Amino acid sequence: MKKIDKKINTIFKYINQISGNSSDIVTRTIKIAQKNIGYVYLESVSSDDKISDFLVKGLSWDARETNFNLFDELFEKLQNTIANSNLKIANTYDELFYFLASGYTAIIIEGVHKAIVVETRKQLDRGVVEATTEAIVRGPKDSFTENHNANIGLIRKRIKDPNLWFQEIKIGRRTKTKVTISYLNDIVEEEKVNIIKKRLSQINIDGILDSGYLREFLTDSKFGDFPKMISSERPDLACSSLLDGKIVILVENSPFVLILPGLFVDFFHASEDNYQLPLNVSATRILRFLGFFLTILTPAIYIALTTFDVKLIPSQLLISLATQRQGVPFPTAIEVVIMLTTFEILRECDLRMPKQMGASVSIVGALVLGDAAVAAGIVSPIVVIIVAITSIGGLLFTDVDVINSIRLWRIIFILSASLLGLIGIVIAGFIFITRLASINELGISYLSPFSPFSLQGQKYGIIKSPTPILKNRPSFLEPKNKIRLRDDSNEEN
Amino acid sequence: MKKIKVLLVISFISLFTTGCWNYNELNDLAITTGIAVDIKDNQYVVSYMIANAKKSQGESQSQEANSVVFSGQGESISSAYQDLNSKVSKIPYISHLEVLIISEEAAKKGVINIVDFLMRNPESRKEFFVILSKGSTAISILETLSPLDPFPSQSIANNILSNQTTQSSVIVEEFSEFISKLLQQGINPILSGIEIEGNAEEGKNQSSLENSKPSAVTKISSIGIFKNDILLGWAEKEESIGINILRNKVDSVLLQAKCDNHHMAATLTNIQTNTEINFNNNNPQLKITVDAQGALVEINCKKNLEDTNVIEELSSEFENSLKNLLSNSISLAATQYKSDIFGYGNMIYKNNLTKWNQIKDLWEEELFPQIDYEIKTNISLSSKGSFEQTILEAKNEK
Amino acid sequence: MKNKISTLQVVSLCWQLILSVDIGIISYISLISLKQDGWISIIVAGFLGIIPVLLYLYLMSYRPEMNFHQLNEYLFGKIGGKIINSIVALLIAFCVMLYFNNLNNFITSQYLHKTPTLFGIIIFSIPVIYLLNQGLTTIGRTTFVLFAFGLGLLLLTVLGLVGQIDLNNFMPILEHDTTNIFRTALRIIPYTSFSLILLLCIPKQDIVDSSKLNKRVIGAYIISFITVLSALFFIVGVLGADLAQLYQYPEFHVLKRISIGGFIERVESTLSLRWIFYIFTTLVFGLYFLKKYIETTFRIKKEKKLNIISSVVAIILLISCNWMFSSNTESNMLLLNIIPIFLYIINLGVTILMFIKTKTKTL
Repeated sequence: MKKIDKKINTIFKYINQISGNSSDIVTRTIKIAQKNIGYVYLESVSSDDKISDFLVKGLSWDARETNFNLFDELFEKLQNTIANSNLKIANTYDELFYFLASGYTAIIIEGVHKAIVVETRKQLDRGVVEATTEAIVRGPKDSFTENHNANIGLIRKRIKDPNLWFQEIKIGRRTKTKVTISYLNDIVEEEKVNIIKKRLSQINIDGILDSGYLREFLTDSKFGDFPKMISSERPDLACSSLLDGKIVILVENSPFVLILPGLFVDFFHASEDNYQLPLNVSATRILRFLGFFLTILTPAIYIALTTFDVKLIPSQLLISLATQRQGVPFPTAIEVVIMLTTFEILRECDLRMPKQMGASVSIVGALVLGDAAVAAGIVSPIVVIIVAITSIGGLLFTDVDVINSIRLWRIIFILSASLLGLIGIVIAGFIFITRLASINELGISYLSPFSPFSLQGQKYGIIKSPTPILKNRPSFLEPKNKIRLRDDSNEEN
Repeated sequence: MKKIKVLLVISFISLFTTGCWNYNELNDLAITTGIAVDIKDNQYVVSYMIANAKKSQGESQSQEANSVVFSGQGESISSAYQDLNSKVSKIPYISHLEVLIISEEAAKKGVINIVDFLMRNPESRKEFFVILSKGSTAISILETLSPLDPFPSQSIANNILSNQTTQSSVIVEEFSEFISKLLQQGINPILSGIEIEGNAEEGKNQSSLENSKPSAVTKISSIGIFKNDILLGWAEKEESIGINILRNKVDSVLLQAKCDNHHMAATLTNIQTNTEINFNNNNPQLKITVDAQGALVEINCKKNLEDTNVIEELSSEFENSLKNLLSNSISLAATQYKSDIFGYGNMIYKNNLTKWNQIKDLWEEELFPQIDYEIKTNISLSSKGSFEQTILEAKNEK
Repeated sequence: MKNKISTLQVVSLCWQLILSVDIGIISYISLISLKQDGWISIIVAGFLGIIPVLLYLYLMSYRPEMNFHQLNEYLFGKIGGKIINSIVALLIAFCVMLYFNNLNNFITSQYLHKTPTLFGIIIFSIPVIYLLNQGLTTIGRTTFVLFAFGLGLLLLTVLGLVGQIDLNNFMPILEHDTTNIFRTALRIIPYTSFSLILLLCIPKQDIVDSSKLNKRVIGAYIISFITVLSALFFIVGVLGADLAQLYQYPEFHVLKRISIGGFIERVESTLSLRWIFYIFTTLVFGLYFLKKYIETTFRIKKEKKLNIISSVVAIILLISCNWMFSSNTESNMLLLNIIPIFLYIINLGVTILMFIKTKTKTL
């Protein structure tokens, strides 16, 4: 790490040389009290107004006040006048470049191995807008954006507790992305935070561009099928998780925050559950669970019932099913896989297609997947219905990781059903349950509150109790401070 | 990692391995919904009625029959099945069997030889109806098409079920219950009989359904009485109702009686039959009490229905009529066929074990045929329909 | 956190251990000799069988930090302990093969009757070995989830069958004399109560909330015996004793009579899945017992090596059960007469020996 030189021109030449005469470097020299002061900034990330603003305010110098230690005086002067920006000192070229790229302006004074850096960042992001991937009917609609400070602000303004701690780490050799861990200190145990910090500090990678990069490093299992953390764009979800005793990780330049630990039941919760009547919410959650099992098991059950265990089907249905199967060239499993694949391709197209072309996708989908395939004799009509039920259940989930894991397990169930029928489904079910039960996330079982069965935790699982009754935080998250409502006699931890 | 890849490839190939072991495509199965057993030239003839899936993909011709009957002949049931299998192009599948029809001659030879094959087959569900065919071969019953149901087996099964609630002259016997009665001591099984009314030959064609009156219909008529596993004879309609009442298995019964040489009828519901057996020096004595509620359905004589004495008189007429019905049934079973179909011996076995052990060898031949019985019937005419008075009485009052 | 298991999961484990013999073994033993009086012998067996359970619970709390094998080595010295451990391990291995054979018979005769049994064995040992390698916590959690499913299926069964019981099928009561009842009860006890010896392989300190363990295990024992009793009740009540005696798996055939609401029919294949869950859990736990035995006796510390060795042993045991009995008739005969004697001698004998030794060691 090279220290900054003393002469201004050397510094400017070094900066230009190391960045290959980059077109957005602006360097200037001004005179203050007969001394040369240079400043340099990157015009792509710095805002011109702010620069001229502070130059006028801060660097206007009384000609009478001269001192040998111009650096410290200037620093103090700037501290006194520019009250609303970050003000730091850079010692090495690495730090200097970091600050320049973050939108700071560097003030270089002859004869000193240091430089003053003042923040003059340009706003390069969207501003606080509506959430694009998560829809909500009733509740706050703002979402996180790519502006790190604004994200922290959205959380800070909701939880006005001094115990809300934000701890920052920089990760990535070239990107030096800021990663902030936020938690409520008197609820979350120290141990869990330390585990996360340790894992983050062991990351040795070129660059972090989005919070998704961190996912693989933050968990301790290699086979990633089910996601072990929630990623969300909504500040109210992040804040309610913080109040429950979870840990939120914000990453610079990413509008998605990570919430750890993400348990199995969290995929059936939506943040607006807290804003609706509890009976409706319980019914909706049961519906979501039903959708989950429908979407994973329906093709497998259809294959098992029509090929191996025909005696489970009622007689009337059986004869019409047998009629429909006449003339279809493929075995049942292949039929189902073909239709499912077509639907998945359609869904993928839907995600990538710009809005103008969206209409033709739905027309093609309806044509291909509907009567045309049946009339051409490729598939039987009942398979279209099975695929429709499967897909409807799958549309309930918006998190991409959950959708991918559902897809994987669906295929495993189809394979085992075509091998051994109902017993195959049972065996695959054993493996599924074992897989879920073996995941530990920060010391908490993935299947809480079901598997280490906690009666108190049932209020947060499927059935939601009315909010005035929810006195305690979910005990399966092992919080230090158990009581949620304010109770004066039990205020200590 | 390589091992996992190999495993994945193998398991993916398994998707394509059709026809291995239990894997059967639906259209490879011959779905059998009715089985008929006959005897011809001293050999068993087993016929399967297969629900015929339509052959073509597009619109099916309406002239095509929806069900097909295949037959096989052999010394025993399994060899007949083997013969049958060589004629059917698909795999016979009997898990959805609805009805088993045994012909009279086959039943007279002994039912035990027929049932073992079906019981041992792990696919069969043993919850299908068993019924006897009277007066015609069992195959022709399976071949008679019905205008109301798509398959003959369905029409027979539906007929049995609806008959049970409306007329109560049918024995609804599922296969496993039938076997259970064969095994128990002190009771002999009974089965319903079905016959064809009309022209059986024309009934097999689709064209018979095009007239407003079909050429042949199947009719559930009488009850076949067994002793051990051999069919002895038949009981007619009236006696069938009596048998069902004595077994306490009726829902509602239409009882006919006479008043002043005219007809009257009432529907009896809520029929409860209580039976007691007492022993008087090793002679058994039956005491049967029947309680029922009656609703007048038809009355053609001149009576004043608003007089309570008249109502009582009518009730006792009905009670006598019922008593005659029941004693006819008992004497038929006891004296004519000497077969305990009501299960009185079983009742003694279950309640009085020591006594049964003394008399069980004598029950069928000596004690039951000479049994003393006393029948008491109580009918309360609680409802007269929507008409409060008889027409003749109302006419005369004017 | 690695090896903790909660009391509730232990309770669900007990339940499944006792109920796993419900299919094929208990119903056969009680119906063959007693017909409609089988339920009396189950009540007697329930009362008598609580004595071994109390013994096991006492041994478990004697030294909370040791499991069964370490306890034996402590009580009888190294060589004696190893011998006794090996004898018990052989017995447990035999029982694992017996149960797996039972399961295999059940599945291939009712569900997949054309598939060769070897194929079914290989496929079915995959989840067993997968779960075996996961560790005690996962086994506990999976046990609980399967227990919850089984409970739901049990409720459906009871709902569907309660309306069809005919109390007349139980008469005449006590057709057979009491010595027969006693003998049948003595035959039933080894299969149900003695399987709880598998609980001893968890050291008590690994159980969360272990102070309530005794009460809860005894409670689970009583409730699961009531369930076994009710299963037999339904069989005899709905089918009748004569018919039930003819079938190979009468519990399965009784389920064919269920018709709830007119549309839940033909559910016998689904509702009998709960026995598959129970036997599965028992197999996993029996193999876990053997795994602990290998770990203690041969002093293997590294987890990966232990996993590989125990998986190999498990595969060998499970596959060789294909050739254990030559036919169903032979296995039925052995189940009735020879196997209970073995279970009594080894299981009860070892437990009583350990009990006496604990008393004399403290003196």
